[in-house]
This record gives sequence, structure tokens and C-alpha cells, in this order.
Amino acid sequence: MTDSSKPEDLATKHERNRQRRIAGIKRWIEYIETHDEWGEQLNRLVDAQLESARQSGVDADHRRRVDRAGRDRSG
Amino acid sequence: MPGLPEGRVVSGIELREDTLVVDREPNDLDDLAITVSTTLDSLDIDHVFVSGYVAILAGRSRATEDIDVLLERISEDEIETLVDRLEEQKLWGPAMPLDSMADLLEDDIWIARAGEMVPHVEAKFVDDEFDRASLDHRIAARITGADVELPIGPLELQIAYKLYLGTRTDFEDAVHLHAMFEETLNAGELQRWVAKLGVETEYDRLEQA
Repeated sequence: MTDSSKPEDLATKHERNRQRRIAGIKRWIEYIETHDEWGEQLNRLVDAQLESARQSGVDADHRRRVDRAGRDRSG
Repeated sequence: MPGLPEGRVVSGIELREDTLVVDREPNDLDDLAITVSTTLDSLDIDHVFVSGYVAILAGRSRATEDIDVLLERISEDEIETLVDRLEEQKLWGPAMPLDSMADLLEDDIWIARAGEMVPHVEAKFVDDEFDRASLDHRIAARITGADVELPIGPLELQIAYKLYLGTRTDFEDAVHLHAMFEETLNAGELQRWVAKLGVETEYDRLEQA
């Protein structure tokens, strides 16, 4: 960790990361508009994440607790 | 594609009148959503998919384990019929044990394939004016690879509601939907929901993003 431990540096870094993520979203939209393979790629991402979650062995009660906590926070 | 409204063909996802055309094969999330939607349709239960799943249908490149769907309020008898039908479809598993039936009128209903926890559908009954608007003004999403249509909430309300929720993921979903359909969204409707939810500042931020 460098000077980023200062709050103002952290804020700058956070904003830079935010802008990069948004730029990535817009690049992906361009990709959808120009590449037929977009659907295959999206499906690979979705299906792989679900398969990984299935393998994690987390029980139903725990999932529901986590889900509720997330909703309370965002609601 | 036969049967679709006329429109320009420029990308793999288009909003044509009241139909979101998604030109891809269905994934695992879609398969579950289609099965649940078909079951609800068979019982004439009005429903609408909302939130993150709509963003993913609209091309957002992210994963999720849950699919949110809003249901018209139904009676206890109808719930029992729904549970029976879900069981017939092997859609009643560890996500929602049968002995929790009493909770169904109050809580959200988790529906998963038997023996699985993910993906799951989180069904809840229409509860406020935003839920009601999603249901009453739903549009169709057509996944061409499955040749099916799913009811989804109007994108203008989805964007404003995502801004209201305000997490990083929600904001980025809103950015995606707005950037993807900027030219075809109903600007008046979007502004109306933004004002109603009091998210003008967040909307300005989205426009500048």
C-alpha cells in the first residue's frame, strides 16, 4: 500500500475505478452491437458462475440470510 | 424474424416497440425463468420479471444467482395450486420447504429446481405503486434462441429504480440500460419515474457517466 491510505487518494482511486468500470460497460455495448458472439460469451459467464455457486456447498438458510442482509442494505 | 414488429437491425439486442428482442440462445438463468413463467401462465397468474435479471436479459455482462419476479396477489388456495404445479415441474426444492407454506403470503417465495439452490427465482407479491407499475406496464422480452417471450418491467422504471437502490451494481445496471437503449427509451416516462423516486441527482450522474 502506498499513499492511497490517505482519504483523498482513496477517493481519487475510487472515482478512477468507477470511470473505468463505466467505460467497460460502454465498450461491452459496442461489442454487442458489432459481434455476433456476444450472446455465447454472456451465456458462458452466467452458466460458469452458476456452476461455481452450485459447487460451493453453501446451504439454503445461509443463502437466504445473506440475501436478506443485502436487501436491507440496499433497500 | 417472423412475427416481430418492424425495426432497424443493428445489434444483438433491440427494443422494438414493446418487445425487447434478445438474439441469443437461452442460458441457465433463462431456462429457469422460462419454466417458472410458463407455470405461472398456465395458472393465469400475472407476473413480471424485474431488476438484475432484466439487466442481464438486456445484455449486461454480469452474473447473478437470483431472478426477481413480481406476482399479482393470489389467494391461499391459488398458492396451494401453484405449489402443486411447481412440484409437478420438479421446481420445489431446498430453496423453499413445503412446511413454510404459512410464510408464503408474507415473505418472498424461493423457487429452484429440485435439489438445487442456484439459480433460484425470488417471487414476491406486488406491494407498492412501483411494483404495480412494473406489472401493469410490462413489456415482452423475446429470447430468439428459445422462441419464447418473458414479461419484464418497463425499462424506464427499471433504470430509475436501480438509481434509487443505489448500490454500485445497481448504478452500473442503470448505466448499461440507459446507454444501450438511450435512443429508444421514452424520455418522458424516464423523467417521470426519476422525479417520483427522487433520484434526479443520481440521474444527472448517470447522464454524465
